[in-house]
Amino acid sequence: MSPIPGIEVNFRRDPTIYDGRFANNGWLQELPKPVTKLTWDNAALVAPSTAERLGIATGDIVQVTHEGRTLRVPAFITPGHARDAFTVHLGYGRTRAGRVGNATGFNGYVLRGSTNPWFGAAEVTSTGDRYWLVTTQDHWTLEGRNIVRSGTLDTFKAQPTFAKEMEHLKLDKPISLYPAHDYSEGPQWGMAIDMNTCTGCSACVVACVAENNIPVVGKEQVGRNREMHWLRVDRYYTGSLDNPDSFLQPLPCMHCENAPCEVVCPVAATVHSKEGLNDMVYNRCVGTRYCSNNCPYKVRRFNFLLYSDWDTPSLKMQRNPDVTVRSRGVMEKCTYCVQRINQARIQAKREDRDIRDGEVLTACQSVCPTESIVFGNINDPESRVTQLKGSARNYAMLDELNVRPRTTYLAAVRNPHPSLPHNASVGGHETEHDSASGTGASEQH
Amino acid sequence: MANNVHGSTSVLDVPVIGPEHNFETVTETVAQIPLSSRTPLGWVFGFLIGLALLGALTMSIGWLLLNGIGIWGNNIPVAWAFDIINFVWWIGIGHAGTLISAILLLFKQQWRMSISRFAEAMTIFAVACAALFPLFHTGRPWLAAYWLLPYPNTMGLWPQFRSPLIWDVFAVTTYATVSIVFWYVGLIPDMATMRDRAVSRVKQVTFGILCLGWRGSARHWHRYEVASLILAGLSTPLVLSVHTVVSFDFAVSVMPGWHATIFPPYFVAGAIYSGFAMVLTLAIPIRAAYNLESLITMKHIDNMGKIMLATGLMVGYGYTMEAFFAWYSGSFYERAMMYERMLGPYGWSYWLLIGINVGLVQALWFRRVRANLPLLFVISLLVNVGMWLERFVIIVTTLSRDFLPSSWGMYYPTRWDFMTYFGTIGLFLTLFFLFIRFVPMIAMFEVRTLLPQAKVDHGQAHGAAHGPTGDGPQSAPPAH
Repeated sequence: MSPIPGIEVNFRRDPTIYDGRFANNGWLQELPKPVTKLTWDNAALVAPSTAERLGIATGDIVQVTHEGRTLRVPAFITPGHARDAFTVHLGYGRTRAGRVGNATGFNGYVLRGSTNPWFGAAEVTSTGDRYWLVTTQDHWTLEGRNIVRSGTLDTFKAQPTFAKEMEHLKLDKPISLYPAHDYSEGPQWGMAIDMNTCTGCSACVVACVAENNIPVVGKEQVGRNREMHWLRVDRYYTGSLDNPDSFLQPLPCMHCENAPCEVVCPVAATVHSKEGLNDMVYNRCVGTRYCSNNCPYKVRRFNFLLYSDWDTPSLKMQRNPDVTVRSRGVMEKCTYCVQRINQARIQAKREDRDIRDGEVLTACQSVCPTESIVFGNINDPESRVTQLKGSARNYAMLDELNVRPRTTYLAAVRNPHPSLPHNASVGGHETEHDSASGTGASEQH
Repeated sequence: MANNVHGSTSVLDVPVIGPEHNFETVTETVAQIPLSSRTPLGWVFGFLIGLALLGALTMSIGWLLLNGIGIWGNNIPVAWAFDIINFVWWIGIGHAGTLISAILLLFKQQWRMSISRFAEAMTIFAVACAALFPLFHTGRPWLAAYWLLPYPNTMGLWPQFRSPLIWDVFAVTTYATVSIVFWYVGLIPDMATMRDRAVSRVKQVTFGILCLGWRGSARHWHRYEVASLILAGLSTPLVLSVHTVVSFDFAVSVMPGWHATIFPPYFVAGAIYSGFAMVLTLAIPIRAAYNLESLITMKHIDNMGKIMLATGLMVGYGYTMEAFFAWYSGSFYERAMMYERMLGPYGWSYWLLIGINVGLVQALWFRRVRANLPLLFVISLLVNVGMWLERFVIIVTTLSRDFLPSSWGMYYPTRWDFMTYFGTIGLFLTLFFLFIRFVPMIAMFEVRTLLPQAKVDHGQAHGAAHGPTGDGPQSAPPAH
């Protein structure tokens, strides 16, 4: 194919491994990049319309020529990217980074010169070769579902509870075959995540990995949908793919009060604590994976192989001694950092007092630069989390399933300039006919 | 007979036992197969294929135990895939044997007699194949092997009785136990016949032990009749309950496409449907290879074809109702699931399944098709494929695209998935070939009661000397 001129190439530091200095860090390599959700690689990001014009799909290797230098790099279609331009993140393609960083990605420095260090004119040639890019989220639309809810400032002013009105099926009272847990006593843990302030930086994910001894599984296993992250940041686009609204939604375990995972476990390896936590008992787990199937949020992670490195001495010192290192064949998931709760409880008991609000910070909460994640005792009317859950914007995802999640979201309120195209609100269920056609049209990127 | 003059007479209008038979020929035809010292070449060939596949099963289970179930393609969200598909498929196949031996016994269907023995054997072997999956699909089978059982222990820990997997444990172990006992009890009189006819000492002693001292006295026969009636009574609810419980694995969950009240009856119909397909798959070649056409007659083939048609129509009704309820429920997620199931990335499997289980099976309306053995054989094989696809569709399409689009993911089987699956077919074939070589595959004493001679002492003769039921031997010409 002949080269196509008139393309701009942009160079950016990588969102996870920066300029390449962290290329040998497994946690950062496996961390999905905030927008693309790519792991273990970089790519030439390109707008959907430009990709269509050039006849390339995600994973097609293109040859980018810039100031006489060339680089073969796979394209990655990115909604919202500027048209007629490619973005190549730097820091990949190192040959002597170490065991983890070698042979990952493509070296953008090969293309970059000192005259135009950040962008410049380029030609692009489609090579017809393919490369296996691995992401943790293959799907980018909401499919007309009300899992992410958002409105404009005008919507909010007109109806502050707009997010609650988007509920598909309102439940008047809790229904269950089984006797209800008594949640009136003691601390009852809950979390509120503000989608207004979340920037999608993904620091929470790395903090969770560090705190909870979560193993790095590598590109091949991530490609098989087996990444182990207990907390993920979901990314959705709405509107036109060339200029979409994008939404980021951190998603830990919801710690449902009527947890669907618990009733299906044949050996009672996942059970409810009296403080409202959905606990995993690793010792008891035999690995039927039924809990994961029955989890509507799909937050459970399974040790399909022996992912944890039990032998390397340096890794033993790296681990959190308060958290079990899981073995092959057991299920695991977010615990609301139960070890931190227990540390605070011990301290409180020694001082003969209740656990104070803000004394327990989950790992994800403690690193969140915008304080989007707030954790605490929902039995305490004064706690920050209780107050946030009392917000008009507060909603429970998939509430219609009657699972009563302890993690709830605060709907995003946006204030776009009136002259810009935008969606007035996102998350109300479309009529089924619309959503059904939407389902088919955008099923794969 | 033979020519199909507009259906008035056809190859299907035959009695359930050939007119040339008498007590001696029935016994001789069946008993000489295990007693013969000559092993047919076809048997050796088939057995070796079974053994080779069994080797593949051993290898894949060994590799599985060494590495974990990550050698399969299962992932999050599709945490169950070939493992549970194969489990449901095998356990469903077993149901035909139980239906034939229990329900048809209670309904006094005489045509069941000549196929009940090997259909029951098929049940046991299918349950053995099925049972491998719930055990080995777990992350830690060495613990799952006993932690799912309610045994007293110092920690006071019991299984979690709300879980359908625990109900499965009870359902499947009960089913396996009752099936084995029923099968063995039914074998006892024939084992005595084998003991009496065996020439070599080894066979005499072996069959002698296996027949538990059967001498054929009136008291023996009386106890046998009572025992088999009780076991038939015990087995009858199992035909309905086992697959009902298996369907609860899905129906009790919250997943769209699983959470459906139609599942129990629809699964039971599917089980019997696939079971009869498997009986036909086995019966058609076996009766040809061992010249059993006069014992497993075209009447049997015809009846089994009709049952397949009837249960196939029920299954088709199930598919229709699944789609209807997805729409009628008004549930957003159910509708989206049905859309994905039909037009999503696994849509090919749905339409292939509909093509076989709703489309192809209609051919069985025609007598000409039911009388055409090669065609019927191909249909029964395809029905087995179709029923496997049904479980694939239910499990994989639901899990791969559920509530949150962010977690949607495709499932791709690995070579180990296929090896484990075909390996269980090897286990089944191996056990089945051993069965037809060493055990009388037709219940001789029961089939003898079908002969006109057995009717002479009506009321006194042992066995099921029931009155004529319309398709019995009374339509046969009088014996010599």
